[in-house]
Amino acid sequence: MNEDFEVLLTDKRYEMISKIIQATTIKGKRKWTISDMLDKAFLDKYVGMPIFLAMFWAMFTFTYACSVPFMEMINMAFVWLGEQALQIIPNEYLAAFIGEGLIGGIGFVIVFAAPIAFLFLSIALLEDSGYLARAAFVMDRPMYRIGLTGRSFIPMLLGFGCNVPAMMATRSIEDRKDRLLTLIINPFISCSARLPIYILFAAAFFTQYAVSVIWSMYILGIIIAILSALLLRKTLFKGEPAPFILELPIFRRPTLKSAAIHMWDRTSVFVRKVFTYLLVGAVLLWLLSAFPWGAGVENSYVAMIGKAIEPIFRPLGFGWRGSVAFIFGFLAKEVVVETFAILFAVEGEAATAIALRGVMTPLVGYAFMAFSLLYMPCLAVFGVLRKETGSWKWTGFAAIYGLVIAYFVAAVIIAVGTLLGFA
Amino acid sequence: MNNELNEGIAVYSSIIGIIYVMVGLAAMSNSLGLSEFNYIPTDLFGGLMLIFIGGIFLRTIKETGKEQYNGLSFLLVGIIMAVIYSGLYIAALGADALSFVLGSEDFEEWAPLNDFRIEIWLPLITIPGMLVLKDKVRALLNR
Repeated sequence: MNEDFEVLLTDKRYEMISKIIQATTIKGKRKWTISDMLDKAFLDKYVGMPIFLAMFWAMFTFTYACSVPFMEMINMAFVWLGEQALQIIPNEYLAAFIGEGLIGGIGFVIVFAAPIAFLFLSIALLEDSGYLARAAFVMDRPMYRIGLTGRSFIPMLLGFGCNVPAMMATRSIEDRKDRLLTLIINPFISCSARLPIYILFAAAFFTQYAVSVIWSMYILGIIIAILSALLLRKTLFKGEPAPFILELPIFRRPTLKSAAIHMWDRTSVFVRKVFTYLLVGAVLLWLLSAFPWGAGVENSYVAMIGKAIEPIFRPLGFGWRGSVAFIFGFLAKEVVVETFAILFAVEGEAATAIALRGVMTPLVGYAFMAFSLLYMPCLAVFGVLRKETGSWKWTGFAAIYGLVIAYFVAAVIIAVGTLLGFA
Repeated sequence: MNNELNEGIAVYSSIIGIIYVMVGLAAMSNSLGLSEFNYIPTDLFGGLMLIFIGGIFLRTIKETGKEQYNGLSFLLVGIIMAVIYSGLYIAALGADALSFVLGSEDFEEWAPLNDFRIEIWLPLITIPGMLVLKDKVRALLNR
């Protein structure tokens, strides 16, 4: 009823606008603008979707390809710092803690500030140009078909940056069912925190096809979100989605200054996270991996935890290190890569990638990426999910649903890959 | 805009579209191990994106002869996408050059020509289209 009223109100508003225009203007031949020309193609029912996919592909290629040398520079600086700490500090325990635990742990994660900055730069350029609103428009029709309102697309787009503001953005969805549905599927949209995992694994196992593999993860997230929406709309949230009314802004030439400000705003959040949550994670992980002192990582406390839960993941072949990474990844998804660096006791992305090749096959690596994408959201998202749904029941459901879907998808990848001879 | 120019644009745009689609198919074929075309990247999804760009140019055919700017719109957006992809791979080439200068292990045997992908220079064939569009776009902007 509310939705019908809203549509009626909009119709009446535009009817009134049309009457006023007719009464006050002389109708001549319709004049085109540049925005009209661009919209003709960007919103076209045949090429609108391919343009959307091509834009996103360009965004991920830009993010991955251009960030490599900057990651290398940051890595070199932190490796040097770590070596200095080990040489200067006389106490063996303190030197190992600062050089390997603190600097090594932080250094390993902070290198991913480069791709995250490039990702946000490209999102800002698309947003400032007015294209993202068109992307929402293009996606409205398929989203309505699967039982989602077009309003859900804005939170889903925001989800590519971070799921926390994305979930808060669902407040614009008035219908309770539509909102709950959007909240539950939003964690499947791959946020920037998962990017370090993809980059590490893509570099380790799929060097030549790294961009394709990373892009496939984002597409997988969208597909799972769509299928989940379809499933949940037919079971738990029966009914029609509310209609979506969107006024498109005119196209503007994005300015580098504005895009750079956006980029810095969002990247600085990541940097702050590195020196707070991830620092705590690094310290905790290092302590658990270093003690009992001298026993080696294989016999450390963290290995005990990992080996205790490893049987759950045994059919997927993630090993105890992967199991530990998922547990600590609940703090923040970036901790997953940090965990591998600390558990392998190596420095830098290249060395970790080599170590990963020793414990996983490319097929298991791909399944691991898919599991990381889909399993339980991070602690911050979990908190926001609880707040926005106002219910522990729906929060718990979203978490368990994500875990089940992640396990199922990873198992399907392993099974199909094995059948195709990729094992 | 007269019909002759409209049809000329449709023919020109479809030629560019076909070239992009063919290059895209070749890139996909290379990546699937079905062929080994020289100077064409081995890139499955990159090839798919070239097919998408080709599709935008080909869409001009169906729209030409309708409203005045319909056909030109697809040519314009096709050129924008082609230029975006050219810029993208130039940026990637620059980044790889920087990695080489830094002495990164993965780039020890890097050669600039390997990164000089066809997508970088393929938009050169859209220059006549850009010239046609320039006047039209300028006229629109001056309104």
